[in-house]
Amino acid sequence: MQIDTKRFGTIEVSEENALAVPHGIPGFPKMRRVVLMGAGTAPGQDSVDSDHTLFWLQDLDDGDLAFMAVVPWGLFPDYDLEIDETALEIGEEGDVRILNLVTVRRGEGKAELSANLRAPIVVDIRKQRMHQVILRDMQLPVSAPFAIKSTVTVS
Amino acid sequence: MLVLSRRKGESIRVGDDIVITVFELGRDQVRIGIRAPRTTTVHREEVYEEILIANVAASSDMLADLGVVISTAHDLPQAADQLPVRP
Repeated sequence: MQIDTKRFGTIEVSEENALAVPHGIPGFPKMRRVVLMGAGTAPGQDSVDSDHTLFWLQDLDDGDLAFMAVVPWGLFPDYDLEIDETALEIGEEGDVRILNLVTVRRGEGKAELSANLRAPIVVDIRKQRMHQVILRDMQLPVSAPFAIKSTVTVS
Repeated sequence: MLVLSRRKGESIRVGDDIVITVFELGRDQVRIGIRAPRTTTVHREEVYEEILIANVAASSDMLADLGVVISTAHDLPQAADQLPVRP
């Protein structure tokens, strides 16, 4: 299928790469299908053996809606989380992959990137489904900074 | 909104499989028990609201400005099993 997106123009997405979002996510209950697109590596993630540790999550029904998500391993070595696989109807623990949504806050001449460790994106790679889970651990930050980037003013 | 009065120990049933019970009454606080299927999520409203606000911020057009921060370059859409496993 072809999806017209605001950020990436028209992209071709094969059905087998689409991820279902059974319940939407808080604030976006209508988000029901997304696709992942690799977006490079986040600073400080040399330890993670992968081409990408940053991803775009593009909504397949709303071309304007996309999120950036980051693989937490390497950035947050002490990040412990407990996922209730049964509640999410995930068959095996090995089917789980974790991402965290990224927020960008811009200040003067710089932008701070932070990850939501409190409500991770839980991907079931076998069933090709994605959930956002709000963890019980109140100690986990909703906004955990992991990078500061200089911004370039384009004139 | 439906508003009901309940005494300590009494319950309310929502649908077929959710039961909400008043456990304790304090001066300005109540303790409530909720029995629901494991697939039903239950959260304090302010916690849910905090995540909702964070999601809206993550989706906002600030990301559209990312071009100057992070490249909006991207690979082709890919399968989820390419995601890195926890080391």
